[in-house]
Formats: sequence, structure tokens, C-alpha cells
Amino acid sequence: MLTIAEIIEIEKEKIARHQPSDEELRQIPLDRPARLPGRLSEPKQIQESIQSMAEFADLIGLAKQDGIHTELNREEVGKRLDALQRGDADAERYWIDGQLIVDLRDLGISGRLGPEKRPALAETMVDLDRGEAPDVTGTIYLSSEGVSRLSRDQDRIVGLQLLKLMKKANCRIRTPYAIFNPRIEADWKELREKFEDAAKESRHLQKDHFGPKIRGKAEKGEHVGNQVTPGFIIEIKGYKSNGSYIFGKWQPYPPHAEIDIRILQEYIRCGGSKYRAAQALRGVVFPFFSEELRYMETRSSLRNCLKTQLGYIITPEVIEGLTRQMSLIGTWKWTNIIIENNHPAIVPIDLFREAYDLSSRRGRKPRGRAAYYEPLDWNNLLYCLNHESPRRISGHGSDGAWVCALDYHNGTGPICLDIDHRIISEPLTREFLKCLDLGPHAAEVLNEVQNRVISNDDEQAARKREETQLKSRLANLENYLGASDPQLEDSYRRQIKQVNGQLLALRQRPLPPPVTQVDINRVRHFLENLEVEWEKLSSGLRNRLLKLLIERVEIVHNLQHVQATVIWKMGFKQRIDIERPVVNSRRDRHWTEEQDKLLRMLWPTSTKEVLLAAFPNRELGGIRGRAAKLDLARRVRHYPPQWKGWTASDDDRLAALYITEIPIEDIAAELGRSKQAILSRAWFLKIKRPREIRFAFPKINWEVLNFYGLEAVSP
Amino acid sequence: MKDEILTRYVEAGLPHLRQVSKLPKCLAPDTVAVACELGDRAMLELAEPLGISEKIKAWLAQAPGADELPAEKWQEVTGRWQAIHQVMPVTMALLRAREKLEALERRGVLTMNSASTVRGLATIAFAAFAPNGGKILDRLAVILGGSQAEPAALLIRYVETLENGDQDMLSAVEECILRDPAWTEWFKRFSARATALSFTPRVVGVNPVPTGELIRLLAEMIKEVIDADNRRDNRN
Repeated sequence: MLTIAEIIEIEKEKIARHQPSDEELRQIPLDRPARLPGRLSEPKQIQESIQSMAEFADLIGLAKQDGIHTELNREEVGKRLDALQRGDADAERYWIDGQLIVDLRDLGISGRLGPEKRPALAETMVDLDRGEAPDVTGTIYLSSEGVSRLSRDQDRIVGLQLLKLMKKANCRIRTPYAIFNPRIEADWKELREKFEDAAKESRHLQKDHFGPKIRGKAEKGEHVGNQVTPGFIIEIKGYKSNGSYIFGKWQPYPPHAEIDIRILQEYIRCGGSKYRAAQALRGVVFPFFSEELRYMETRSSLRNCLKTQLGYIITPEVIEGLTRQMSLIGTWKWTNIIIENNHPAIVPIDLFREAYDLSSRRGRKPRGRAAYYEPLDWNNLLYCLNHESPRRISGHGSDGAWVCALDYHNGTGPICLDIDHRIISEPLTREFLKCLDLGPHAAEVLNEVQNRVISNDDEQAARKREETQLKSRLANLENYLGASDPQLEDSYRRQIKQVNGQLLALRQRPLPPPVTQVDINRVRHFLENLEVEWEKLSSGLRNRLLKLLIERVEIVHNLQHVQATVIWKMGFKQRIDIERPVVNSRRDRHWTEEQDKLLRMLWPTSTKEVLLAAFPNRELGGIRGRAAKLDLARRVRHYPPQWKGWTASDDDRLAALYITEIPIEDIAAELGRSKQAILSRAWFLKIKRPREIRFAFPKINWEVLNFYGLEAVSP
Repeated sequence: MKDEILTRYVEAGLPHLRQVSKLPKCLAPDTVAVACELGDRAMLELAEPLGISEKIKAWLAQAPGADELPAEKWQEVTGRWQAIHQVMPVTMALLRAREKLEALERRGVLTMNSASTVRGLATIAFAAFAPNGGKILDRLAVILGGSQAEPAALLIRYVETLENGDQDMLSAVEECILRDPAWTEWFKRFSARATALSFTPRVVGVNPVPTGELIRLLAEMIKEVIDADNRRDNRN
């Protein structure tokens, strides 16, 4: 019989597993602080936007109404806001009262700016990043304008960051009309859309207010806020009344212009490969701007580059950008405005033309539609420790490879790791599944499965999704009708017919019968034999299970070995030493001068066996090819010691063996012939070795060591 | 002898044995399941060649029910068992041996056949806990170079020998075991019982917390597999 302590434990576990409802998630957490951030785009709005300022004061009342503890009242806040509106220099912009934090430090700062320029936003983000602690903001009060008071970031980064942080901290957004919690999927979507709308609104405002003025400046070839190409600085024509600059045209900046020329030369020398050019230019940097040109740091496109102590690193992206940058030859381009000889050219025209030609030739192939690939099983779990700090290893689903190439892409180093995913995934998966014990959860899983199978919901949802996609495609195609090009028109009509056919077929397809043959034995069998069932699962699901149970996998590697440490969320650890299969890499295949010399000496008179012994890692075909390239001729002809005819039984035996996994060398040994003889006879008899055998994946060897915490399992 | 009383003793005593010997739950998690499948008869049959079966039977005839024993008694008896301190090191050495052997097998460099390998490992490991096991351990210690008091070290030496492919030493170990009729018979029965088991017992079993998310995901996985099977079966 269970003891009371055990019953309490069971109940505690039930509570721990309980998922809060949407309603619970939207409740204002009264035990956590609330924050009231205020932001208006321009200093003059503080004086003019009386309604917006009044709304801040109303929010105090709303917070009190929600039950947030504070001694502040509307009148008190009204007085403080009045002081701000009067432009009182000593007016307070930040105060904490009870559980309410009022932060008006962002008043007069554009919402397009990020946390580095907005102290209130920065503090909110740092606070939320601490997670769900009791002293972390639990509610953010916003006026009726909603999230646009938080951010109008044009890059849509800050809004998303804020959402993620709020989700992490389980923080609500409270407006006079609604409460949102990003932990609720629908709320997340809605808030994301609101951030998007805020950014768009800001862009439209900007366009309406400043558009004609900016265009006028651009037509004169003057700087209009776009990123300045490396090699240029902006001429300062004067200062506005608020102290900001009035910019003129771009001017050459010789320290960077020299580097531009070197980059284009190297790009051409490397045949248009931005990566190889970046490798060749490793160590070369764009020097930092001098003290009097500090204003260029935020205006030059170099601000996006990585920095060293000496300057800005030349990345492949910088190189590619420069090869297409017409400003280098003095041509000004802004939207549809092109002005030749607007400013001095900083690179020779011929050099630019050649680089531009190479760049456009390489990029001529249009980008295809992005295809979705299921993630690799261990995606987002692998970290490379061959660096100062761990780096996430990217899983390339389309190539089936694990790649650690950040240095290479930044032009700061070679590719660290590029390996067939199976070499790492297979041992990890095998050892993971060997230790995973899900059998005890069979009853709970069965319960869940039964709830799902009764309704057949998933299938219906998938079908509905497919139908919506087809309908949307149909609507798009119908919009295209009426094209002046008859061929195009025909193509659209053909596609419409095809989509209509697909829609009809989808509607007529009967729903598969709901699965009912599920019982506890099937579930138990599935859980206990996950190793067998693993391959039948989609890699997306496999990845989800791994991410649920595994904290991370730390990878240390060299050319011969990969050492992976699997850290489970339950504290269990496994260290797996994987031997990397020996591959005939491109670099290994290169003929060295010594090898060429040896070949020159041996080729004229040596036998095939001698040649193969002299070059143990090469095939006879490769040796022959190299000899032909070196114009070497045989002086002596070697015949086999004795020629043996092929009998019908030999042919039958060959046909039987050739399609199996037995290596050619072993077949040759069994039939008492050379490898070449086997290959030739098979070719003559038109026997084909199956592709999976010809290109068999090398066998992977590994050794595992299981740990418990810091203590090794083995003595 | 009451029905399945020995099995019940294994079931009830294992948690105490784990506690006293500090053997983690995740190691050899299927021990009870194996005992249940074998049952009293098979377990006593296994003990017979080693000469302890009669003693156990006699003891079981007068033993109280396993559930009647208080936890303190279990702890006391388990703590008094002389070989208790060997449980952890021998289990660890066996686990490491398994890891090593699997690696050797994958590389295709395991020179000895699997029956002989398992015979060597099982005999050293079980002899550490059998009342008369000291004698054979003594002889094996002479061959492998070690001490019968440290069976875990003997296991490690044996695995190293396998790794180095020292055929002379391996043959000597094999011969030593085969010369002892009791252990030869024991391994014969052990091997037969092990291969007849309806499941492969796990050596390590990490059991995750059954959170709602995990259960939902597992349900989704099993549904995917069942649906795929179902679609394949109903294609035509």
C-alpha cells in the first residue's frame, strides 16, 4: 500500500506535469513587478502629444485596477508628466513605487532604434532575460497604441527578441483592451503581426514625411542615409540647428580605397570565388576610422563586419558586395536614380569591370524556390569545441552533412568540420537508444495514443492544409491571367487546369480508416524496441525527441577521430570516440614532385605489381593517367604469367559473386585471377554491381564510455 | 518450498542491494524482469552445478515471505554479505568490458569466438559472488596475473588480453574453465537460459521523467509508425 509521503509525491508529479490553460497564462501575476514603459518618437512630441501623455497616466489606474500594488495615483503621475512636458530639466523619468516601475527614459527617442540607444528598452530586455524569477517583470503596461510603444525596428529583430524574452520570462502585455502572453501560440502570432504593423507604419510615416526631401537630395547625388561603401567617407556640408550633420557627396578615403583595389585584384585572381579571396586576404583589414571621422563608424557598411584589434575583417560578403558596388567607379545609385561621375572613382574601371563580370557570371543562375528539408536527427544539439568557445555545428539537411564553417564564412579561417552526418549521427543514435528506457511509460503513452486515434484529426488537418494551399495557388494563378504574352497566358491556363485537377482528386480521396488496432502490447513493443522502429520515424520527430532528452553534444575532432560527449538532460553522460573513415580526399590525391619522380623512374620498365606497391594508395588507372599526363611511355611490355580462359562455370560464379558485397579483391582471389581480369570480364558479360555496393558507405567504428555525473562507470 | 519465493526475494531484495552497494538504478535495470521470466526453478537449476542449490532450497523452505521482512533487516543482511563490496566494481568492469568488446567487434578484430568470450567474462563475474568461486578465481588470477580478491581487475585484464589478441593466454583461460566441470556445466545452463529469454536485457536504462511533452511526442511517434503501416497495408 502507498504511504502518505508517496501519495504526496505522486500528486506533486501530477501538478508538475499540469499544463496551464490559456486563461491561466493571461492572468496578471500579482506577485511580480509590472513595468510601464513610455516612448514617443521625438522630443517635441512630449510637449505636443497631450493625449499620449495622458494615456500614460491612465495606465497607472489600470495597473491598480488589476491589483498591482502601488501608492501612485493618477494625479501624482499627472504632475510628474506635466513637469516633463514643460521641459523641466530635473523632471524625473524613472521611478519605482511598490510593484510598479514607471520608465519614461525613452520619451523622445525613435522606436526604430535598438536597445543600445534606448535605456528603458535595454533595461527591460536585461530584466526579462533573467527568466521567470519572482523579481522579473511579469506584466508590461502599454497604451492603446500597443507594441509600437515598445519597438518599431525596421529589421524586425528587436520585436522578435522582445517576444522571445517575454516568453522566457512568462511576461504578459497589458493594453487597455486586452492581455497577451507570448507563451500562448495565438498571442505570439498576434503580437508578432503587431510588431510587423508597427514597423510598416513607421516606414510609411517616414516615407510620407521625408520621402520627397530625401529624393531631392539623392537626385543631387548626396548622401541620404544609405550605408557608405568601404573606401568612402561623407563630406560634411554643415550642421542643423539640433547639432546633427548636413551631409554632402561621398569622398574617397585612401586608407580604405587601397584595400578595395587589393580585394578586387584578389577576387579576380581567385576566379571569382569570394571564399578563396577571403582566405587569401586573411590578415588584411580595413583600418579603423581616425578620431575625426568617428561619425563614419555608424554610417559605413563596415559597421556590420567583425572586428579585430587592427580593424574590420574582410569577409566573403564584403568582397561580394564590393564587386557589384558601382559607387567604386564614381557612379551614384539610389533606387532608380543613377548618376555617373557623381564622385571620384577609387578603383580602376577595368579592374571593376572584370570583377563585376566575374561576379555576375557566377551569380547568373537564378535562385530556386527554397525547399524544406527535414532537420537532421541531432540538429541543434552538436557543438564544436575546437574553438575558444563552443560553436553550434550546422546540420545541412540537404547535403546530409555536419558543418562548422563560421571562420570560413567570416574569412578568418578554414572550414573546421565538414563531415557526412552519418559518421556522427549513427554512433550517437545507436548509443543513445541503447541506454534509453521508455518501457515504464507504456500505459501513459497508450492513453495519449487512444485519445488521438479516435478522432483522426491529424489526417483531416493535413488535408485541410493541402486544400488551402492549392486554393491559394489557384487564386494567384488566376490573378496572372490576362498577360500580353500568349505563351505565358497558355502556361497559366495549363497550371490552373492542373491545380483544379489536384483539388478535385484531393476532395475525392477517401479518408483513411482510423487506426484502432492499438493496444498496450503494441505500445510497449514500440517503446522497448525503439532502435528497430527508429528508422521508420520522420527525422523531424526524431529530432524533437532528442532535443527533449539531450542537453547538448560536445564534439572535439581531428582528421582521424571525432570525440562526442553526449550530455543528457537527466545528468547522464556518454563519451563516444568515433574513428573517421579513411577517405581519399582531394588533397591526398595530389601528385607530389617526389611521386612524379618515382613514377618517371618506375613506369618505363616496372611491372604492375611493383607500381601498385610503390604507390599503395593509388589505383592502377590513376597511375596510368598520371604517366600519360607526364608523357611517359612503357619500354617493356609485361604479359600475365599465364592466360587462363573463362569457362561457363567461371562466368556463373562471377555473376553470382559480383552482385554481392564481397570485395573485388576477394572475388579475384576466389577465381584465381587479377582484379582487372574480374572487372573486364564483368564488363564483357554486362554484369553490373549494384550502386549501393559500388558506393558503399564506409563502416563506422566507435567506442563508448558511459558516465554518471563526473564519475566514470568503468574503473 | 513455496511458489516463486526466490523470485520474490530477488524482487524485494534488489532495491536494498542497490542501496547498500551504491549500484545506480539505471544499471542492469532488467534484473527483476529476468528473474521473473526465469522463475525459481530455473534459478535453482543454475545454482545446482555450483553446489548451492540444496542450501538455498533448504533455506527457502523455512524462510519467511520476502514482503514480511522489514527494511532494516534487509539492509542488515545485505550489509553483512561479504561480497557486497564487489557488486559495484564487478558491474562496472562488466559494463566496460561490453563497451570494449562491442568496439572490437565493430572493428572486426575480435579474434576469439563469442561463446568463449562470454564464458570467460561470465565465469569471472559470477565466481566473485559464488560461495566456491574463490578456487577458480585463484587459478584464473595466476593465468591473467592478478588476485582473486579483485575480480574486477581480473575482468579488466581479461578484456585487455582480448584486445591484444594474446591467443596463448586466452586459450589458457578457456582451458582452465573447461577443466572445471562445475563451472563448465554452470555456463552451459547459463548460456541456454540466456538465449531462451524472450527479451534482451538492458545493461543501462536511463529512464526520463514522463513529462506531458514527452508522452505527447511518443504518442505522435507511435501514431506515425502505426499509420504508415496501416496505409501500406491498405494501399490496394
